[in-house]
Amino acid sequence: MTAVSDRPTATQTEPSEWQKKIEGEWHGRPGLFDPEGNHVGYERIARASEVLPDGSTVYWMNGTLDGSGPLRNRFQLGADFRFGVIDSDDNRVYTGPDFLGTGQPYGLFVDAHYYSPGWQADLRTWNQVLPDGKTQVYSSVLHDGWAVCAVFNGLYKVVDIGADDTQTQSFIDQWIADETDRAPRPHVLPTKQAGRWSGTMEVYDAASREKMGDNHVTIDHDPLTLVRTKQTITWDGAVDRKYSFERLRKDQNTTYDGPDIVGNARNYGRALFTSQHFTGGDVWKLKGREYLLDDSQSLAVVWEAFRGDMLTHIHVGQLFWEAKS
Amino acid sequence: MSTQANAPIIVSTGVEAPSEWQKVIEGTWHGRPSIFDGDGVHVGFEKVARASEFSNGTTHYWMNTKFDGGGHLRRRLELGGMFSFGVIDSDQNRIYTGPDFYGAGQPYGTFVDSNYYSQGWQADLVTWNYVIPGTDLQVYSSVCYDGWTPAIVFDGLYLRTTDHETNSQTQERIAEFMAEEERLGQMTFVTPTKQRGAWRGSVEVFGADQKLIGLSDVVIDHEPIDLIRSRQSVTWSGTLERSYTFERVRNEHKTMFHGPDLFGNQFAYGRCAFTAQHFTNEAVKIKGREFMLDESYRLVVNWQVFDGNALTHVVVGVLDWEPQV
Repeated sequence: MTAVSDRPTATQTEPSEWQKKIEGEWHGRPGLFDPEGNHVGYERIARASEVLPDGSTVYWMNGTLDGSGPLRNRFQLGADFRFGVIDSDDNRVYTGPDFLGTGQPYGLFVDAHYYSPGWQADLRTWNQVLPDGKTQVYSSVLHDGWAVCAVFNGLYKVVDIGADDTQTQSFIDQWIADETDRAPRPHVLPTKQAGRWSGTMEVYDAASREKMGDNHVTIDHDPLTLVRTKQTITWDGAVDRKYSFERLRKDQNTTYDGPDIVGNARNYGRALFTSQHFTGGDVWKLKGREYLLDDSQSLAVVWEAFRGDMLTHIHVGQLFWEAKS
Repeated sequence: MSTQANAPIIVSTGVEAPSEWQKVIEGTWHGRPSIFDGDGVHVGFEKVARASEFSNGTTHYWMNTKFDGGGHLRRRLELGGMFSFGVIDSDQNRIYTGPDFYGAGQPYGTFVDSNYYSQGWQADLVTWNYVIPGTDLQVYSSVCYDGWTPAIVFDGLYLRTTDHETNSQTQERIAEFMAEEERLGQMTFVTPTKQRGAWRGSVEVFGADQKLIGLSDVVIDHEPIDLIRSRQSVTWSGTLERSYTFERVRNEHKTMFHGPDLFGNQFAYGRCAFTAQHFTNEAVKIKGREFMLDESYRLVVNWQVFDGNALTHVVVGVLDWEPQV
């Protein structure tokens, strides 16, 4: 045998809860961005994570790159991705050879961190399955050590089986065309319309990975100028909090200038990656991803809450926009 | 009436005695950190004198910074007033109360990991300071982020004085130290390419509760394969035990770790390398800083060990290089 094989490892007979959520073939066309946030190309991906008859799990990912400028040289591969996964709801361990590392599932969200020898990159991948069960909000931030070298992000859709192959294919083609249009769009919130996002976010305890409960979250949005906005965010339920701040956008960068949180963010297309510190002698901080899905202005939000150095809670949910009349 | 704007926000803890960490960093610290852009290119120097002063339960931090060079980053770093802000002193969470820095730092013995937002620089900073035990030397780095993306890195050594204002010999010593730091700051992190040998030293191991658990002896056996590849076998014995072997490949300031026992990569800003390392087939990873002090290859290691997403240990120490005879 001359192939460099994948390394599936048999673990259990029943697939994990996360494994059940991501069953099927997912299709997407994530945008590729350079570290500055410029859109430089696309990846067309079909991928699936399959449980083999012997109980082992294999992940495969077939991708082709379009465009992508100077990053093309780095991401061209000599073969499709294929690697083993130790399936679990605790730590999903990627056993190589294409990805080595782990992912931690929290309900509909997984936070994965692994190394890809083919891309020579350390990846932080966040996958959030939306409550519809059919849409996945995906991003991978690729690192050299601590430095960012590229970002992929986009929405994946699990194949909806049509009446026949033609219908199924046309469903996929339409989704890919829509994602192609949307991928380069920067994360810019309404500048002339006040309104509110609201919805339910699930809250998980980081240590046990158990769900603590739901939060009803609202974001009141009040544009001050074309680049400055005042927002007031309220969490009500599992963890209560209320905070207001002004945010200032300069191209792809946003700063949060208090009074209740300070920090900053950079967007790669629709995905905004945030770092926020609570003020007033508060030790808590949030590291998050806020994803502007489409023209509905709906936001898919993931916040990781840290107490000092310790990851303590994970907040995940979808918030819906309503303009103020 | 005060004519000063944006004065330090001082919060009293009501505690009369300073924390252990506060005692570790007493005095005035002098440094000439190098400035690097996000790609790792050396663009200039900072000249800093700074002190954190405790009095009657309140702590005031001041920092006088001047820049030489700075290239395209200079305009971002220029300030309209000296850094001056309040700190809530503690050995658990040191909270920066603004207005220049908002956030917190967690001490582990003589190492502190802090994460805070600087409005003046519009940057989210991760600063690691390690006072080499029994010395007046501090190993410093600040990685300044736009959201999740490092934009600027400062790193270098600081030296402590207590009589700089009055003692001309001390002033001379600091001037020599600064000149040496200018020379060393432009080095690049490279391990020996033609000499086998080993790094050895004792490291302190802290738990996530910031308490010292004990010591481990660390040995890194180093064997160059060609001029860019080497094989390293690392052994920890004592409080934490582990042994692992991997090949490392260097391409300019980037290094990849290509198994068999560990995969990942690192990116160096001058002498200071930031690592991401995943152990094969398990959920343990290391996020680290490895700082090459000078031409003796003396190495300061600061490793954060994670089980999945949870920080479990902080490992810090100095390793001395011994060529194999």
